[in-house]
Amino acid sequence: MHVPRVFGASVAGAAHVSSGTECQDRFAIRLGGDGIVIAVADGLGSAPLSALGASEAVDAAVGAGAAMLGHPSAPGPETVAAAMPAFARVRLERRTAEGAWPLKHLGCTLVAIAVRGTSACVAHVGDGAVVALTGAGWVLASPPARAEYANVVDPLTADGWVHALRVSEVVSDVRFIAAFTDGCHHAILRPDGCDGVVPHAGFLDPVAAFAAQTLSDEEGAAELEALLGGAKLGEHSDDDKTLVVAWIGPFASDPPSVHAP
Amino acid sequence: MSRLEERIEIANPQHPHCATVLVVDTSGSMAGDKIRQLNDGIAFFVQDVQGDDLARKRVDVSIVAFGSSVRVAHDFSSIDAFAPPSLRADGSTPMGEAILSAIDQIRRRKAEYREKGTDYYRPWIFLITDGQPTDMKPGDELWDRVSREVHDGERNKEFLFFAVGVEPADLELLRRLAPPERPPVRLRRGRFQEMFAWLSRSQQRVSASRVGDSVQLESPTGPDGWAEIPTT
Repeated sequence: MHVPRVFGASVAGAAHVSSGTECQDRFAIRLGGDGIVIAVADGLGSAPLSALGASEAVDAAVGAGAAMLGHPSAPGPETVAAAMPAFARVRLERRTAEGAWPLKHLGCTLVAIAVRGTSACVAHVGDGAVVALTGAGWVLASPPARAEYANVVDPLTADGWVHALRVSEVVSDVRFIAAFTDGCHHAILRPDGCDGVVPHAGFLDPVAAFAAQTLSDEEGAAELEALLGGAKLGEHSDDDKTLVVAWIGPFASDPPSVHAP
Repeated sequence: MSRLEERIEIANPQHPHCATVLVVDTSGSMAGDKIRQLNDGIAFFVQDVQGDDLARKRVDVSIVAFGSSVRVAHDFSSIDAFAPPSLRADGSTPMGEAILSAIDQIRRRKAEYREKGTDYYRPWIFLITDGQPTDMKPGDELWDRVSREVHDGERNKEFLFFAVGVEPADLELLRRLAPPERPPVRLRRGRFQEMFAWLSRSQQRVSASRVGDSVQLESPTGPDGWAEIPTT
């Protein structure tokens, strides 16, 4: 059985590089049972400990998700995904209690994905997004939260975070899935002409093809890091950027009729 | 360039935009030194914002002038394409209609942004006046409509409304018109350029802000500030 290719990268945006601020995006990946859990978080610029918040949130989310997937009676991806943000939130509350900080100081968004077999589900607080390649083509598995203004978001640390939590429909027949923070929105999502966005194949097809063919997760991560830190993505966004991808199948050794685009 | 970078295509190569309407009093009382300083200040503002690489791609400006009439002296354009008009002082002070015109400008600009899929920041309305309105007075229909639109607009986060009174503006009347959370300030004598420099720096900060950032504006009323909070 093929092991999925799962890798990602985070790079500091030009604004943080010039101010000497560390990248406030974090991601985590864990394989468990017959599944994968992925978490991506974007620390808020206004929160002084947001990088710590993002680290703790993704770690707690994938830890809980992997444990659920590894259980003998592992639940479906929707149950796993829906539970991951709550574990992340509890971890943040514990950390702030330990450090005697206000919870908002660890402000961050969270995208949590659970994949079992070829089915995936997303639990989402804030911006960032998830797209998937299925047998029917590209789908927007979880869009960015709708906020009117470019610098406004409801984070995981907000009092009303439960009301801001969105759990997607289960996406079936998934071959490739990608999660990213808002620094990559302009590169991956294009306006649909109806006040929404859709996945852009011009960006995603090459990335999916690369993921399908890459020889190792390390090689994949290095290439993503170079892409995210390059001039093309930096031209219209000086924000931190994170992109995590998973090629689930089929693989080159599989029958040619089910190969990547 | 990474191998992937050569092959990928960017989906939506655009910057988020920040729309600002300058609502400027060009009534007869602004004649002479005040209108000259206003024109010079606007020109300085445009040049200063253009000097910031990020802001020049993100700041959009419009001017609504009110004097002998209310007119859009410059429709919305990017700051790069902005040619400051030469404003002249003449006529009365139809401030109420000017404010409504500015709010309409903001709403239309937002609709354009949405249609094009352009992200945007919360817009600004920046009112500069040296008098009191001649087209409305407290309690009449236009006054009620204008103050309701301004107060609701701020409360609903539709825009940010700043009011600056130039001597001898009626600051008490401006205070009733302006949103409670953002009272008017009085321009210190001759400080037009400093005011526009503050406006330029503020726009640069807003246009550089990212999701989750809290934009801290410099106080305009510090010891070296260009404005003072009226106490009478």
